[in-house]
Amino acid sequence: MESINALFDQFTEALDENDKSKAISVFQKALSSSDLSIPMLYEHLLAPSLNHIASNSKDQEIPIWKEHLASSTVRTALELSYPRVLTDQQPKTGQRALVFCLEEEYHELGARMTADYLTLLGFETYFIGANTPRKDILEAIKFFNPNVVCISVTNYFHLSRLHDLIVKLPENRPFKLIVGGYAVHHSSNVEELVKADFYANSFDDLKIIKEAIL
Amino acid sequence: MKLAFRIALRFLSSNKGQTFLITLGIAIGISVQIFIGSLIEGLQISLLDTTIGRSSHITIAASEKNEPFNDYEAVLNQLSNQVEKMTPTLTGGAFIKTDDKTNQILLRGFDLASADQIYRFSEAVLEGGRLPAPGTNEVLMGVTLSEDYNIEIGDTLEILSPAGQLTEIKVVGFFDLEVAAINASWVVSGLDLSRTVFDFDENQVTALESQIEEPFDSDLIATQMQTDVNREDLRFDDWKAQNEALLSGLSGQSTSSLMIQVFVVISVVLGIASVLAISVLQKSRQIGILKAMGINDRTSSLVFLFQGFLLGILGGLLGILFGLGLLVVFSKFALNPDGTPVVPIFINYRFMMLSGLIAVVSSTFASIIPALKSRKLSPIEVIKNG
Amino acid sequence: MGNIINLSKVSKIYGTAVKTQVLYDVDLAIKPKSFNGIIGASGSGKSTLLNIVGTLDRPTFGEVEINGIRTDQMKKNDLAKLRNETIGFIFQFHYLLPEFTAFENVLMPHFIKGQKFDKRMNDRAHELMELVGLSKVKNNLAGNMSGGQQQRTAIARALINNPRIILADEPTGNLDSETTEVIYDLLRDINKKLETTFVIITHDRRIAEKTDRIIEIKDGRIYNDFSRI
Repeated sequence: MESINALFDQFTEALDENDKSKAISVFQKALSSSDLSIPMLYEHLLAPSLNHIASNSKDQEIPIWKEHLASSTVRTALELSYPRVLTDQQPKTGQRALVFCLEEEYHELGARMTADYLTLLGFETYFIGANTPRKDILEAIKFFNPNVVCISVTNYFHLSRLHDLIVKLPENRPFKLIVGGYAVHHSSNVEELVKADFYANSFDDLKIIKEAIL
Repeated sequence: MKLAFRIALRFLSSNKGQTFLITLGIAIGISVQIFIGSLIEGLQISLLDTTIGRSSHITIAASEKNEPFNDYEAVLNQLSNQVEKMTPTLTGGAFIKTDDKTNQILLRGFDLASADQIYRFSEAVLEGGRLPAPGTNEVLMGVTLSEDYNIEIGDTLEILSPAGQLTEIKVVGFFDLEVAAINASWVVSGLDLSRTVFDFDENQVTALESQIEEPFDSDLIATQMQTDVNREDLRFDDWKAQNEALLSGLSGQSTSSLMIQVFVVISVVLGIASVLAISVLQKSRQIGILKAMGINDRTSSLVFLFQGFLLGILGGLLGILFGLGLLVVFSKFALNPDGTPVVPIFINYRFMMLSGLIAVVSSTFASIIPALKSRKLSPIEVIKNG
Repeated sequence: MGNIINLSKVSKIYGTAVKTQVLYDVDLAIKPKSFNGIIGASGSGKSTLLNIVGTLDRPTFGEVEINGIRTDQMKKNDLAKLRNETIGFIFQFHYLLPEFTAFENVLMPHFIKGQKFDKRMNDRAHELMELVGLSKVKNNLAGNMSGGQQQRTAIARALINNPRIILADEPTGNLDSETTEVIYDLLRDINKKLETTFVIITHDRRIAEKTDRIIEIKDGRIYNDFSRI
């Protein structure tokens, strides 16, 4: 079997060439390998390839349309992964998890991966998606009554909104709040200002958190 | 400094309508001030000319009334460098006999050459006449006097002195000095004839008459003369002492003219001050912006001082033009039946310059309050209130 | 490197009879060459904060240091000089002098500085107008230009004296989104090329999310302060 690094190179090359079918066939090849776990595929293939493309990490020249094209390819890859996620799922914990992004936050892929991780870890997971208004977040929390609420923030501007939301949540809330995403881990002062129960950056972080909760 | 001037100029030029109105306001005020000042000055000069133009400003006579005094030439020589126009006169009441009547006249014997500088007989002689030749028995006669007694040029009359001496005189002309009393009573002769009539000595005259450059200094000069001459037997009379009523009239007129001018200028100042004060409000946004950009308080005040200064110059110049125009129009259209102006207009360029200066100074002064306001203005008020 | 702007325990209280406190013990340090966004609801005190940083307003309590110099105690005229030489302002309502042309407006801070207007300055002014894309309208009176043109004029004006700091209060507040983008790119470009420190108040998410640091003011206090790392 090819190494994850070789697959990453092929996948990014296909993204660079705007060749979706090639990228997806590379990913399917990787997905079919039982050596490569879902977190591995996400954390060593999909996420870095997106960062590679994303304009805010490398040179400014990459146009937004290309970034969107790459996102769409990665989204397809994620959809293709879901059956595998269900197959690999650990014994159910009986706990519910709610995953979403804040209002005006359109970068949902991170949240999507997080949702899959939580599913893998045996949570009953509800992924609401990008750009969720606060009112709807509160309604969803009421409706699902989750044990874990997971918020992903990619753009650091939305940290302010995250702060606002957390302040609005009741003091003794009946769920654990986990925040993560690019902005949470690449900005100063987040842990001082944003009082979440956990800060997660990877599948391993979530695993530790799960142990802490249960 | 240069920047403040430039901003001031731009503020004025960018709001032409308002600038024009203030300038017009100043100009009208200044032109009224110039007009009234010039009118009153012209009136006073013509009145003064009528009153003392052909009369003695300082008269030196014997302390004792109607008596002659001696050594007049010494006095004349002593004062000749102080007073330009001075003439000796031998004057006395006398009578002339016409047909069957004897009439009182005033015989005025002059050194005609020097007396002409004061009385301008040569101009006042009517057609057909001439000045008496010195050393003869020729006389000039007031025109009214001649008409009253049907005297004609070439007539020979007898003159009777109070002492009873009869002397023959010959009329060579009539004069009109434009004063009724003089025209009706004066008979003018050379000194010799008068001396003969009154039987005085060679070195005696009844008075030394004089005119000075500044008639209003006559009292001072008279006192000075008295000190210089230092003769107990002489008195020095100046015209002011004899014309107190006229003088108080003139000074009252001057005062009221000055009052009018002062109030006109005050209203101009108030007008400018209020308009400039409003303009600070109008321009407070700009001043705030300039201050935010770092203009200092001094410069921001100067902007308004310069505006006042420039308006003063513009208004002053325009005001002088308007004033001149008014004066010209007045002297052209307000006429006596004989075509002479009702009031002879006297154009005093120094006075006009002064008015222009007053316009500049007063409008600069009027801009002090707006300048202080501008100094106090804080940029934050402007920035905050959008 | 030291901070170019340093506020410590800055409070601002307005009014004497009825006191309104607008800022509470604000500590804020801004690094040179950084590109900072300030956000907050209207009435949060963010404009007051910016005005205090810009020495247009004085703190009631606390210390303000600009470029290493204490400004809270300085005299008015010294502050004016400091503003003229160190700080460029860009306001939401572009605040040009309508009596002057765009070109003259751009040069106004230079004139205020009281230095000679020579060919070098003339070239610099033309260059800046070129930079903000106003070459064609530079001789128009400021009052006769579109909002975008006026705002760009204000930006060129803020730059003319080569200030180390540019303070902007909603610089794109009343511009359409396309112009906003252009102006923003321009500011960012200046920040990179001239190493000018920017502090920008904005409610525009597109601008705020591109800054290096977001400071959120809420009820007179710093509520959020996130920097990219």
